[in-house]
Amino acid sequence: MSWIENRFEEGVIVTSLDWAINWGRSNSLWPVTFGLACCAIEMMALGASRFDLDRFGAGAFRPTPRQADLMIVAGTVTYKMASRVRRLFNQMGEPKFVIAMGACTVGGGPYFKHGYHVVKGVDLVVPVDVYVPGCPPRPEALLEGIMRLQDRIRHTSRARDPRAAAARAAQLA
Amino acid sequence: MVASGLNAGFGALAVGGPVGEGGSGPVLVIGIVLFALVGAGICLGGLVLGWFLRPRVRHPEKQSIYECGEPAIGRGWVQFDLRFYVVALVFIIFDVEIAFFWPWAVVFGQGGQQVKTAALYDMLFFFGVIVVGFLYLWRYGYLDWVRATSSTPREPEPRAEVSP
Amino acid sequence: MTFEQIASLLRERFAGAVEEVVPQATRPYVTVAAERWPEVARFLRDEPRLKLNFLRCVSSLDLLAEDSLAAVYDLATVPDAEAEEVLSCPHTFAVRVVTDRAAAHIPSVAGVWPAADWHEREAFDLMGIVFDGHPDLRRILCPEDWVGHPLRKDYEFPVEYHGIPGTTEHELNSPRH
Repeated sequence: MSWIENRFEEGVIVTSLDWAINWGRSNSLWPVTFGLACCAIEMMALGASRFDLDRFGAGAFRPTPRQADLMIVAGTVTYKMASRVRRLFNQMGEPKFVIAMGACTVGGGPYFKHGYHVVKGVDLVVPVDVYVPGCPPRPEALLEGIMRLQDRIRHTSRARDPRAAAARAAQLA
Repeated sequence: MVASGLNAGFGALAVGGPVGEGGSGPVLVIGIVLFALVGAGICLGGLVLGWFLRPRVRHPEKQSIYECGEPAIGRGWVQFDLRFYVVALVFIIFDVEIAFFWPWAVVFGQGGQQVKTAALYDMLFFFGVIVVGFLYLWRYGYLDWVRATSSTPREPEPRAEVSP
Repeated sequence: MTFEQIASLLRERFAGAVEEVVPQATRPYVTVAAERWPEVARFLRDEPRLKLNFLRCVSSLDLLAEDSLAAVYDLATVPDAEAEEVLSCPHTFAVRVVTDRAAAHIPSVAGVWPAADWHEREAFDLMGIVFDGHPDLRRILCPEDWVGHPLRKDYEFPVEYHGIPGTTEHELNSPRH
């Protein structure tokens, strides 16, 4: 993806660079305002003063996907909305992450059996990094999800991974 | 090397004396050039580092116009409301007028009685010309956001009947 | 005016249109024939004794046993600011219009009560009743290319919609109670 990815073996420079880049990315996850239904209220509660998402650097909700790197899908996704979700996800710039918040986005939620217009899980539409169950999840639960995502980002590496390279070579061969 | 050059440049400026004297010609130029280079270096360095480190994933929809997820109809460059232009123009004119007031106001206190009255009448003339323009804008409705279409008073419209 | 008084007023004014009077229902209603519905509607709105000028809701029913669909119009009176006499009890009234399942057509009353515009669109979208004379009859909740009318009792879920699978449970395409 980037020029530096998979170019160098692990070493002190690459790992320091990794640490710095991951520190920057995990501590400034800017979400795109994407509240669709009731889970949005809990997301707003998370952004408000009692639970305060801003102390994690993630309180700057961007109105446009171009400036955001996190999409918290908060609320039921319907078939009518699914194409818009996908288009907005495509319009976000790399690196981008998706948190599926609430039971509806995790697997259809309460509308799983009778909901004729509900997409049974937003991972049928966009690739999801973290699932946060709940109906709605408490703000602390969503915060836990964001912190898990931060952990995940901190463990990404731009160094050359011989196993992944071999797997890719095997795929292309 | 850059730091020492910068120090030398600024040192030369400091040694040169109070404002208005400066250092000797070439030292001054070196100072300014170094300052510009460091400034450019800070800006470009970040951009260059970013070019190496950022992921590049090309996707056709990334270039598309953002319209809250809907497929965009038409281009983003549309004809904007001309009232914004009028507001901006009026602002520029009066802002520049104030900018001209400023140095006059700063030095107004100095000088004798005759100088002061002359300066006052000069500035009143300048201000008067602009005030005529302001009154024109006010009278002809360029300061209203919603302009009445005619100057005759309108009667309230008869209440429309709700009919099938 | 009570429900019985309004019903008898309608009966004497529109002899053939009123088919059934049901005072014992939870919400008492009168069944009106579909062809005469617009003139009955106009009478209900304009008659000075009734002035049912507020259409609160249009509901639609799927009467699978009788092979018909119905639309229920829930009406009420909102007195004007300059009303001569204050209504001691504001009237409410309900009218049911029944039509066949196979060819479900009801004349639209969007010209009588503007609220009927979107309510009838919703009844069309979810139940499939076509309202003749409606200014803009198209789906309002489901996407334009949705197939079927979801609130019918014999509706089957879509298997997939534009590539998104309709259900993740094997062969579940209608609610199973």
